[in-house]
Amino acid sequence: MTAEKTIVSCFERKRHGWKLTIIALSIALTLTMVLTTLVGSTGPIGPSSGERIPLQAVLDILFGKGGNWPENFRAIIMDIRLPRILLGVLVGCSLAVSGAVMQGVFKNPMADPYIIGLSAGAAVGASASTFLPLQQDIGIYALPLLAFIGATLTVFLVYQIAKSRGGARVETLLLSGIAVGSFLAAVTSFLLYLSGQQFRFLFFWLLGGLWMASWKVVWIVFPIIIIGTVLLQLFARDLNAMLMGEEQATHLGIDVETVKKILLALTSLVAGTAVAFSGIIGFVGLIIPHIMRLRVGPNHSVLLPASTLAGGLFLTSVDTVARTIIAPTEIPVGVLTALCGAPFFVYLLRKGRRVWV
Amino acid sequence: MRLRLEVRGVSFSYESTPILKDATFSVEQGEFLGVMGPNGSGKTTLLRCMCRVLEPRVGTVLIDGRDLRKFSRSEIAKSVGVVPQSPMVDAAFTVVEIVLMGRTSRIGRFEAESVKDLEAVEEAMKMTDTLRLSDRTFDELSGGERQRVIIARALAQEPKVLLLDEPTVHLDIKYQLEVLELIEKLNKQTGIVIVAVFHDLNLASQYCDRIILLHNGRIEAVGPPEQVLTPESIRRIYGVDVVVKRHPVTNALHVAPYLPPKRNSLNSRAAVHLVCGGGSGSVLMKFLLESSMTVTAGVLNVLDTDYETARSLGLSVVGEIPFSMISEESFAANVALIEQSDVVVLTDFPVGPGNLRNLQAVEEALEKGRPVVVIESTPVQHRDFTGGIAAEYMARLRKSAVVVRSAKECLQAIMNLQAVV
Amino acid sequence: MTRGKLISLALLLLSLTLSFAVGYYLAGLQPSKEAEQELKVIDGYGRAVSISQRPLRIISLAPSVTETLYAIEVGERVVAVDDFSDYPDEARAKAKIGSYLNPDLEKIVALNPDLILASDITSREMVLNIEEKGLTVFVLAPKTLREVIRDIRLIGLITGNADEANAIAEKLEQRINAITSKISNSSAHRPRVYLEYYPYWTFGPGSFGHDLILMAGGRNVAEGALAAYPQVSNEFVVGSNPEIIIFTVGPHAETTIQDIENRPGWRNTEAVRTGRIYTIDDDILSRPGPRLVDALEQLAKMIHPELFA
Repeated sequence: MTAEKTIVSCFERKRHGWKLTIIALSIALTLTMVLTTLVGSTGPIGPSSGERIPLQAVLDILFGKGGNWPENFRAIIMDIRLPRILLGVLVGCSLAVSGAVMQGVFKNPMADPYIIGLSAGAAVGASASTFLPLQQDIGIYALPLLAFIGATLTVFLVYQIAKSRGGARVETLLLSGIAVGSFLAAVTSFLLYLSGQQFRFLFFWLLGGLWMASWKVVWIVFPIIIIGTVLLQLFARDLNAMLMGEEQATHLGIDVETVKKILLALTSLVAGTAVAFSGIIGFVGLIIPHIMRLRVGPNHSVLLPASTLAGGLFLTSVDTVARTIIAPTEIPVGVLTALCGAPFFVYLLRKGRRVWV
Repeated sequence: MRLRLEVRGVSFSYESTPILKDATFSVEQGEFLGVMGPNGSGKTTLLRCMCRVLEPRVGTVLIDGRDLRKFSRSEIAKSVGVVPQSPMVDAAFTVVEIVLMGRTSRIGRFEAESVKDLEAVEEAMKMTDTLRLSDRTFDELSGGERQRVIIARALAQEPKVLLLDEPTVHLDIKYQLEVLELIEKLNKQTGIVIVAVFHDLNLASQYCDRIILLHNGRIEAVGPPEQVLTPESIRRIYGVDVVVKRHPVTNALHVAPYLPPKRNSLNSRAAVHLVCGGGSGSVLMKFLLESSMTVTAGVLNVLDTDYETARSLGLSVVGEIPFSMISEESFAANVALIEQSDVVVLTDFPVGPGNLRNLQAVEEALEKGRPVVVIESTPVQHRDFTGGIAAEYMARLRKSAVVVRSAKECLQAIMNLQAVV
Repeated sequence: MTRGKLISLALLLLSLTLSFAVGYYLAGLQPSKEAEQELKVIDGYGRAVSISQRPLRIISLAPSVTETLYAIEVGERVVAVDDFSDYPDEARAKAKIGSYLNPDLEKIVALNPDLILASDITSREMVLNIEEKGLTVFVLAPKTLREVIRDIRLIGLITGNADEANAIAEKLEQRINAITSKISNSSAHRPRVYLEYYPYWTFGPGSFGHDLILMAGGRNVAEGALAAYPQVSNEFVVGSNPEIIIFTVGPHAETTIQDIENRPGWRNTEAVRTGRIYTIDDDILSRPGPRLVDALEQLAKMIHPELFA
């Protein structure tokens, strides 16, 4: 009888621990979102030059208490800062969860959301958009649309190349991703070369940034990323099993090929949307899952939601620093994510915690 | 309902190389089926076809009459549990988490793990005695523990069939027995069908109800171990000569490799007649044959080990029906053999009224001037069941015979005697 | 999934959606600007932009725009400039709003500008992004020297200093005509010119550098290039045998005449042999503003010293 109590209650305790972790991360994320509205080049917290928005103004504007603050204060907080914070959270969530899923599908700690050509395809799409006169019709969304199309088509192509009779083995997918990615990188370089005046902008876009944030963008991105992220969580058990190897996963009842296809499609949708609007922000999708794995373990039932929340928290915090610290100049956020994240990860590694096994 | 798993005409090829050809057999509930054959004979492939990891080009696998191809993956997992050879777990999952993965096929995508699932896990871990390992991670476990955890995971699927691929390879003998005893217990207690690939002939014959013998992708034989594992079939399929006996203690079939020693060679150095019994002469027979001697023996009880050895070595030997005195005919035959020999060797076998006349024959040989070597590593008092008569014989023999204490000394003595001749 | 879980998930999604809806609604609440007397002008990106009559607070997102604004005496109405606007000196003292690629939106909005002027070094996407926040951006994208002059007049018009702008434009046109008429009336040989803004990077058709060479009476050795700013090789330059080599100097390029002469094979070019290697200020050549005419005059002197003392 005592043994029976042990298994059930031991697992319940574990699950309870997971729930607490998720709740703690959610609270941290919400707090971060609120606090970062106070930080900016004009905000209460920020570099001290020019016009500054007082703390009271931010609070009043956020909680809709009116007050007679100048119109442009409202615009700064509500139209510039808040959408950017939200976009940062959404992009961070999607990159981190996609990275965790890719690491599970490929059983490879070096995997990130871009591993099967997503970033290469987005870059080609974005570069191509400067040559096509689409802005007349869809304005600011021409580039993200083409980047998204480029990203998703590339993943599709990579899969088709890797597919054989039984499906696509992960090793083949990786190699196919490398081959297609290299090819597309060359195409991108060539397009950059021809881009002339747009060169600097394209290069700047490739580095990644959240400058395109607006409510309209958030509205487009929000449902896709939320739905995609929630759907990915449903495959936590499948990912656990697939970590044992494709054959063992099959023994356990998982239709590995179908699940792989679904996961690849979902991550290209989610990460592709993120990349379309924020360029190629590296590091988040690669390292956040590892950091979370060190803290909560490899079980995807907790790893996926934890990575999601941690990714959102991380990116929005880093972006806040990126857009404020040497304002008015902005540090490309991808540079900062690497600078901040890598040393922290090295610290965790040195502490001797097991990374993968 | 009694479960029935049928394999009908299953063939499988990798690219254009045929691995499995036309496999047909069936298994019923409660059976323990062993799959054996040399490396490359298609054992693992057969197992993989049985759980549809591989799709056979030709043929079908049916569970309770339903084609496996029509099952969904999770349906297969609910019926068939698989324990692969040396499975790796590359991530830091705890044992509970690993066994819980066995429930994957029974938990809906939108559901969470329920109490029912945890109870099934607990049950599986109880059966495999892995409860105390709950919170350990896989890489902390020993080989036997790992195997049991994977079996627990397969059991958590609540399958009707358990497929195991060489479940004891790479394990120490203690863990081999542990795992096999567990599987047998499961089989007997729950009636779960076991289909296991074995490479060890002895373990297979000890545990399996029936054995399938594969050779070059074809099923060469199906049946109980004694029918299938005969020296002829083993020679044909494994290319090895063996001796198949019933183990005296466990009564299980025991297969041992058999290196045919040199038979009585043409240029033999000497003819030695062994008067032995009770196993005391077997080693000596071989030893002498190795040393290019011609060997004969008698009188031996036909159930005696020495008799068996002599027969299997193809020696001339005088036999006698068990539990009876040495008959006149046997005695005469024995003496005839003695007459033909150069040296007589008497070993230290237990002497009773039944074989007392062997001592008599030896004494007569000695009187006729034949050289006699007596091996007496055990004093006669400890093996005299004739009330002292044997001891008296021995006392007399010791006067004129060469007395030695080991086979080696015996050989040396024979050589010396031959040198004199 | 249990019913309880489904319900809580639905509630979560619903509340998230509601909060976003509220946010969006609040964001949309902006008092509408009174429609003052407005001008509708087509800008360099082909968009029709409405400009109120006399913008008092102007932000410049390009060094060329800044120079022009000061030249037509709008300088004091400029409240902020981009990081690279360094001419004239007074511009350096103005508040900065970051790079023209990615300006600091918060700062811009905080400064409450009436009008933002940009050049096509700011991408279309960024321009639209700024306008998203309720600001007016007018882009100038002249492709030729004549268009630069036209744009000076245009800037004057939309900033309400049309008279000053037209006066400046007149003078500049006179200076240009002085050169172009002499060139067209002269039958002098048009020398082959290699003009470099960075080692091995030159101007092709579609760039100002190329146009200026032509207007100054020379022939651009890179006239057959596909791109407006192509890279060239030693073989190409030596093969085209330029009679004049001009390279820019400024904070970016550190080339010296020695460097040019030492390049493999370049000694065989007529330019090196005759010592006709010149330098020109990088800024006046690359910024499509009034000083482009200075560049034209300098080039004319280098290319046709016999015509322009």
